[in-house]
Amino acid sequence: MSAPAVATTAWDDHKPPEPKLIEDCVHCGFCLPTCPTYVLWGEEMDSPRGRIQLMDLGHEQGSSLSDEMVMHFDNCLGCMACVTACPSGVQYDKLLEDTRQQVERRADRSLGERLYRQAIFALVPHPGRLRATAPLLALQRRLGADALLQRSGLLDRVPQLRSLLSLAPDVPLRKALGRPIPEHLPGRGERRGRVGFLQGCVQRVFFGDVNKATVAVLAAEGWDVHTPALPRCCGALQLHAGDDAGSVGLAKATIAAFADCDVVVANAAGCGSAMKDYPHSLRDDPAWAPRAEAFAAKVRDVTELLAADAPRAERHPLPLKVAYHDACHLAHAQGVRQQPRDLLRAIPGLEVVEPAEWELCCGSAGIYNLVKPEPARELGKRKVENLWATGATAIVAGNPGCTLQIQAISEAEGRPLRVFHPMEVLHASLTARSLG
Amino acid sequence: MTAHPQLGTEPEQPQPGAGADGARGRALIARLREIVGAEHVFTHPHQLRTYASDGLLQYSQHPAAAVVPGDAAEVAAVVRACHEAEVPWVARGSGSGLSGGALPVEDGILVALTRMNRILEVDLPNQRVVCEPGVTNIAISQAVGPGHFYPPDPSSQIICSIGGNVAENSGGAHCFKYGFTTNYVTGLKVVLHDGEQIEIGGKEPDGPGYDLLGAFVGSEGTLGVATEITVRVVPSPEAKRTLVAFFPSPAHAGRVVSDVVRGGIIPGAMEIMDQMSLRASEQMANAGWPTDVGAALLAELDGSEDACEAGFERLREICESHEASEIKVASDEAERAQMWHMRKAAFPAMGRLASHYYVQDGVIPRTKLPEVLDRIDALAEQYDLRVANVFHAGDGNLHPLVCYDANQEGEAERAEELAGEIIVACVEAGGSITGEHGVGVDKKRYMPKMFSEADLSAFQKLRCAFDPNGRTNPGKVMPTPRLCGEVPGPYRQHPLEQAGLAERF
Amino acid sequence: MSTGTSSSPRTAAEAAEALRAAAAQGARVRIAGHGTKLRWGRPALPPEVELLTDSLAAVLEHNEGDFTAVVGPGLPLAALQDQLAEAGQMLAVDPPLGPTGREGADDGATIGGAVACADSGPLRHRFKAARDLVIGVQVALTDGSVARAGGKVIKNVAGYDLAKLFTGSFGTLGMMTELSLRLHPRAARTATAIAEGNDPRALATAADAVAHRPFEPDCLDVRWGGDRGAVLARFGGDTAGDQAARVLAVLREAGLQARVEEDDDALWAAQRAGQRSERGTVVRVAHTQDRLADVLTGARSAGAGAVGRAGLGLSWLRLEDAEPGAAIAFVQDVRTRLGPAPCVVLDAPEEVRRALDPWGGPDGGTLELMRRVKARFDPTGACNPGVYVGGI
Repeated sequence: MSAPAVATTAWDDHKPPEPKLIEDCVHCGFCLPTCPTYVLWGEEMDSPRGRIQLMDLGHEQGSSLSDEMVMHFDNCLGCMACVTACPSGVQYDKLLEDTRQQVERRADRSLGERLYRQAIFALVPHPGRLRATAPLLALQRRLGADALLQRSGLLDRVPQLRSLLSLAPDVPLRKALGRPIPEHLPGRGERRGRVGFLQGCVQRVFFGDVNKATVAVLAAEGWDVHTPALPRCCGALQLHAGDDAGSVGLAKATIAAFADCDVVVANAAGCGSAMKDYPHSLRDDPAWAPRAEAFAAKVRDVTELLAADAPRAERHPLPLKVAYHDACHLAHAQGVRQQPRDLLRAIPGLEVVEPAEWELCCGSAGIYNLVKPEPARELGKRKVENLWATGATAIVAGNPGCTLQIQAISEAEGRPLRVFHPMEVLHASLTARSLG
Repeated sequence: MTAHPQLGTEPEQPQPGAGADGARGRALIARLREIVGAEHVFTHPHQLRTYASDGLLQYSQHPAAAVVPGDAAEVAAVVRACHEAEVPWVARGSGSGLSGGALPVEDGILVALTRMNRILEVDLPNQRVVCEPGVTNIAISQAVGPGHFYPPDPSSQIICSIGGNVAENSGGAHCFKYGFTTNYVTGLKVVLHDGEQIEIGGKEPDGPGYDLLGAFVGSEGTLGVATEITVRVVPSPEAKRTLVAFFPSPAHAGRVVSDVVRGGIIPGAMEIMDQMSLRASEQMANAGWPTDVGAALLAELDGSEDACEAGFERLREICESHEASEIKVASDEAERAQMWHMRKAAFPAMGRLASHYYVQDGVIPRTKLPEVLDRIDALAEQYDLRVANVFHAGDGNLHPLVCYDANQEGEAERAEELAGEIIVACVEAGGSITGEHGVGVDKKRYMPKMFSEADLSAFQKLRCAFDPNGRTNPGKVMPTPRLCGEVPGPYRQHPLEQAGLAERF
Repeated sequence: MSTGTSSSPRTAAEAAEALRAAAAQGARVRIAGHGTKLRWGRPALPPEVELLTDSLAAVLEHNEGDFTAVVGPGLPLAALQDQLAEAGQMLAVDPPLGPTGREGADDGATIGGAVACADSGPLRHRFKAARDLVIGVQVALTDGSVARAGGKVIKNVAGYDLAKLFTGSFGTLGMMTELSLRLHPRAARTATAIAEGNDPRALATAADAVAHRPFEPDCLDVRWGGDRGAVLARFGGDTAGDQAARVLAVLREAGLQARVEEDDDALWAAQRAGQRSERGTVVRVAHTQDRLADVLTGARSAGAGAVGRAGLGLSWLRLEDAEPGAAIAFVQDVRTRLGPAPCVVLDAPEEVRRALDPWGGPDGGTLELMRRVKARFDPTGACNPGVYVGGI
């Protein structure tokens, strides 16, 4: 990739937010009540409408990327609730994706911030490295190191650290280091087809049970499941945070790894959303753009895939009251709301209730709760309060980030919530077991 | 509300020229920071850019600073500081208005009421809600539902603020039956031009003296800013019946409306959408509405179960008698909500079909609907531009959307001219230049088409009584700037009274 | 009685010129219709010039299809309603038309007077007040100008709402010379659910229950007299009888005897009549709905009659056959008991109106603002001086 042309505008010419998309915004404000940062602060700069104005001014001659612009773009969770609410069809997802990578390349971040972000991307999307931290996390829990750190006041001065520690899930070592999923798992009964399953990075290490449940359910429903070890990551976190080089490389690897599958299945909302976005992020690459189009057309969230056909395996009763949590990258970014509910409601005895303010993000938002811990915590508290208010015994959520956030916040607030993936619930019903 | 993370507490350099000169401007901004906290004062041009427009992007103006106060005391102190510095100021709610009413003034202060979004009291026994101006319109109905609701329901109600509604005397789809904002406000706490706070009315009706509430509601932020608003709420109707009927033309739908009203039925709402707006909404929401018909009529009856049933049957008959090609009846709340979504999001949905558009707000006597619609069609053809139309058929409030492509040479100017011709047509038909959006900046130039010099002079008398210095949202409503002249002295005792020949209390 | 010239301008321009001339001489002007409410407000110095609305009394426009009309202020309300009724329409402003007004003006209150004094009747419950039904106004001002505000369409936010400012202004800002009105269909049939009892609390509870339910009556009133009272809910239209019958259950729940009355004109005439008094004292109280019981118990203990719009919180307390001292004490008691709800003295003997301020408010910043409004519209204080709040 050649160096971008010298700019007299804030944006350079490598995937700037497109003026034609910006023009779609008629400034009506319908997005404001659903935007988490506008709900928290009531300030125009931290609303989708305001951010679009900032994107627009970045195209003006003589403009430069100010610290204010960077801050307001960083404040955006990327939850896409605005996309759901917008009557004019503004494609904020595409605008934000392009803006983020411009900001990452061109913003003047402090050394500390840059190192912190680099550290996150050096660790999280690498399952092997992540797995290595599991013993350390278990140890720090055992030793009560977080209590020590709390007393030292370090956590107050470095809220990112508190966020990191609180989010780290309490995963038993043996689960984190457990056996991987077999690469080929044949479907039961009459073959429905062949799906490629993306294991993910965080999901694979911290929620291995979810992946096991997912492939088991798919197989039970007649799908042959192909689960390659690579790619290690689909690049969603990088894509949503603006790490263009990082995400593009992983996108290509993912496309290549599933080249021979008719359907590609994700069980993490962020991953499914990112993979469906590959055509936009690879649009400037003539070799990969058409491959990305073809690839994106075959991506499905696992609930999307399963709800499209009549169920095959028997659902045994699961008498439980659960609240369904809409992960933003599933509900807003992919428009998948009905399918997981259909699957859950088909389980006898399962009562599914709806929390208030479903459209408001829980604050996880990729790496948001790591880089913007205070608003993430405010939003997490609000989400958790809405979930408590349903009176449900457990929460069902289709994204590991949400699960980590809801668990961490509810625990910090004194009433821990149990969170399960829809596939864990379905698997329990299929195997006539109760939920763990 | 949580504190917004800021870049640091160091105040940025204010833009030059705030108020009369740089030093005074800097002093004012420093004072504003003291009042509301530095984290709620914005002076960076990039941030001010986001406050430069309300719902009309064609008007854009950076203020010298944007301030977001947290309570009434802060609002009063901010206004007083502006008054002492002789700096003009503009109040802003959600910035969803369609007349440029919240357009900032150059070198002036923009006061955003968005942090003041608390509902202070819900008093159902007395059917009153007391709230801050930043509360959204829909939040009021949500707070008193399902047994009661707040009837004036602008299409932007999910975001528009009650303070903005007060400023514009907003209406909405249900105002034909239920009325507008001014029929529901029973009390206001207002900050006047110099920071003085007064309380007009309260929960009770009919306070003695001049109807200052009636003067203030709809005064477009030029008489002061409301910091607390008391509104009436009413029992939710027992039953609602909603249908959407499709016709060969808007005129057909208009005839239905006339017959309905003549027959003594007062529907909760009657809205007409023409083909173009229908298509835009269908693209947005995929409701399954036909897009090859001339017009859609969305009608809702509400009231007692019996009255609703009877009225609804009559409505269907009338629709059929005027060549309705299809009638969809909402069978549950979800379907009803979707029908309303198609209508309420119609303006922004137009963004899908046209790159730019002017939204107008003309009103005509309902009986003149057919001839004015014809006139608009003729004008559109003459100017070779597309005009979509969405309107509150019950009260003759039209919303022509004049579409144009700003990238085509001269098209924007032609569109503006056409929009003006449409407004003139409305006034000539005995109507008004604005039914609910307000005059703001957008329709100032049309005021002389509707009002004489004597009329404008009378308006100015009212404005000057409230704001003798003309710094409260200047440049709005009145077509040309006017001074207030000598302040007539305080009310003078009649000499006979002074001499004790008449008693006073 | 006037001490100077009396004239009936035939056009708005004539009215404006008369006002201008009077103001230039520093004269006191009284603007009047049929004079049925001249005793309201503060007793003031007699006027030197009287401008009557007698010659501005036509129906200028009646737009049946649009349900609007444009009329002169001097048109008697009764005449207006008769004409509108021929088209099955009405103006939903139904105050009492008497007691007697000026000599020679027998046909009761004019539309201009009703609007200038913001008077109202039982229809206000459903159709709102005069200020909500006047959609446009033309006024003559003391600077000699004639100005319009509003228009002839129901929905209109162009310019400032001077129509509302002039409504209830008691002629202190200028002379209304034309009024544009919003009309409604006139119900061909009516029926009233009436529940009677002698317990003010039960009556208030019943009225409240009806007000909070979606019945949509045209009128919802209470009355009290002697030791008995009633709740009345009037419905109009083809299904009036059925609708009234549905309310009976709610009224009976409160322990009242209830029935439906189809021949109900007299009932409502009595409600309107309860707002006026030839020789007694009337106090109009604007209160929250939850004080209705206090209003009725107050009437009972004072031996006063009461009528009121139960769903709106607007009640008239009427004391007849009382010496001025007792009447004064009555008003003070009402104000103490029901304050800070505004209690305005309407009809009352002169001694009563001199002994206390009929208006009882407002004060402070709001009164100052009203003074500033007065000063802009009528700088010399020519129009009905001394009659209004704060002595305006």
